[in-house]
Amino acid sequence: MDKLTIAGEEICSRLWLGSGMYSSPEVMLNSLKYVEPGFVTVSLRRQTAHQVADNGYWAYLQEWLQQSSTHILPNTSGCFNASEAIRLAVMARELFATEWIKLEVIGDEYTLQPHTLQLVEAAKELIAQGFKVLPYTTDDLVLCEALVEAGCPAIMPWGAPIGTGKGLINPYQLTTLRKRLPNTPLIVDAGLGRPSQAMAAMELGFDAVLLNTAVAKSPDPVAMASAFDFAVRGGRQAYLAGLMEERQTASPSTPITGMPFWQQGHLV
Amino acid sequence: MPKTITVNGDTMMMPTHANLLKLISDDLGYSIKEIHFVVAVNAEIKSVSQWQYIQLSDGDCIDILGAITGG
Repeated sequence: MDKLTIAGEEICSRLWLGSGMYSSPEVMLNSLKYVEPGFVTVSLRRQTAHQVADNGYWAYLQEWLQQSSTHILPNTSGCFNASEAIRLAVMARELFATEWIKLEVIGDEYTLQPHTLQLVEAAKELIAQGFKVLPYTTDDLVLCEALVEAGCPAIMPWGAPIGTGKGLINPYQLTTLRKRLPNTPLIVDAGLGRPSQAMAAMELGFDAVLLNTAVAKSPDPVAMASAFDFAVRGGRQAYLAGLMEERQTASPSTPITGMPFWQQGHLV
Repeated sequence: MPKTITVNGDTMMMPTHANLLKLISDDLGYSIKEIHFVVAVNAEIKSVSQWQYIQLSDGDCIDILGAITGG
């Protein structure tokens, strides 16, 4: 498959996965190992000494990341304004030793819709501090353009609200984003519940997809991760190959010239 | 009035030594052999090399954050 490069770094896969909600560290690790995603997302929270010492998920992940091509992508989940997100991002950089940050600033608790105004403010400040900011955003074109202008090396519009599995609820808008931001890596983040939805995103020309719940909560996360991997590869290949234009009317795919006489009456 | 500090949202008496490194390792029990957490005092991040030099003050808020999984 063609290479994906963001902020000068080669990303090994167009499937990106979250690390949350797996039934055990082993299941999480097996799923990640199987597909070796481009990024794996993590976060940080207040922890006691016991919680830090007994953090099996992070211990597994940390060890594996040292020998993998997968990048770590800390997020700022749980932040509701720019200053919270900036503080958490700075702490994440210290903890995870990376400049990458998935910038999340939530504006509405019910839908988990990003706070569009605070997002841009936080992005500008973090970029000024040397972060590579990948913002989780709505699919609003003007907002995404503002984030690109601020210096975000890629944009991550939602497919649907986090955890819903509804897929691409606004394909028209996502298509518009692709057309209007042809040189910006675009990643559908959140809302993908099925491999077919990931494939649809890739067929639209998106550069990657990021998801968590659909894999982690599957009865067989390893198999589901693999299914998403196939879908992402297939969708990308289809986009590069060039999809046919939709037509309103039927058109025979077998030539009609040279048909035997007894069939010709049906074509009148 | 006894001096207090807040650690991860919980108020506690400030130890007499008032030193950040000793608070983290001796009082709170975090392992400092391999450090898998990050510390902020009054929302300002403090690197490991600074801890031994930081004297806490009455009312300081200390946040100690570790890695978690997430999407």
